[in-house]
Amino acid sequence: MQDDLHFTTVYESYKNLVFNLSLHYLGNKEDAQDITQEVFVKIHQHLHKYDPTSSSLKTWIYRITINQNLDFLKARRTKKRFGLITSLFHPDSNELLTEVSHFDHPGIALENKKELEDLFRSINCLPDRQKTALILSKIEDRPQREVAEIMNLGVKAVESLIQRAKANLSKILNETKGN
Amino acid sequence: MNIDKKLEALQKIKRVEAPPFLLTRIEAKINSYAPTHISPQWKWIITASFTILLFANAYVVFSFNKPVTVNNIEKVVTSMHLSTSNDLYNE
Repeated sequence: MQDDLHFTTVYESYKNLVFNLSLHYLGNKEDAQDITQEVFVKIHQHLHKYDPTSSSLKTWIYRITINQNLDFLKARRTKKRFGLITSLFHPDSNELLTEVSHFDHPGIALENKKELEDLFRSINCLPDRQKTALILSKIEDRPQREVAEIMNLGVKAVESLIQRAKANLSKILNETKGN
Repeated sequence: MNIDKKLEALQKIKRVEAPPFLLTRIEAKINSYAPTHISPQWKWIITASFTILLFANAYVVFSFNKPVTVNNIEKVVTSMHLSTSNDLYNE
């Protein structure tokens, strides 16, 4: 009973953080809902193991959410690759056998959708750590010290990750502009 | 291309509220994961049954698989009047 009460309090305090962060990673409302669900099931299962001396609850929840999202993206990439291979063995069909979620971010106004969809697509091409550093500092607006704590890195390392992310992003955007 | 200017567009993203039905879905999922509870009394009964079964098996294996000694064979041969010769026509 006490545990359930505690879990509900945690849910109410962090539901928007988990949902919004998942939206930034996945760019799709339904996928973000599924991930939010998975994250809170995990939190419920491991809440008794949480050690307040090692990190704050917020940092712990950030880490679980980031890992869950990265795992989901990895699984989607594998599925996409597998779909490409399977489509080779089904020459009758012109379609891919796996569906890729369309961009549907409820926090983006319609007039900005095209511009931000392109930007999100480019951010998704970045390596996981660069992507995480960029999302946390530029979209979530977290200070570098907090990003470093969440990612279990030094502040300098985060700074360098963001610089590399910007350089790579610039390259990707130029390439897509050229095509 | 000025990447910092491009990244400024990310500030246009507004934070949204998580859907209200999510908690119900999460609770349903948590309940579906909940392990079925076995009382300690049943755990003891199951452990005791397996131990008894194990000892009974061991007893059967060790008591009935004793090597047959030559003496025992001879007793059987004489009591049942069995022939010990290989000659088929000795009778």
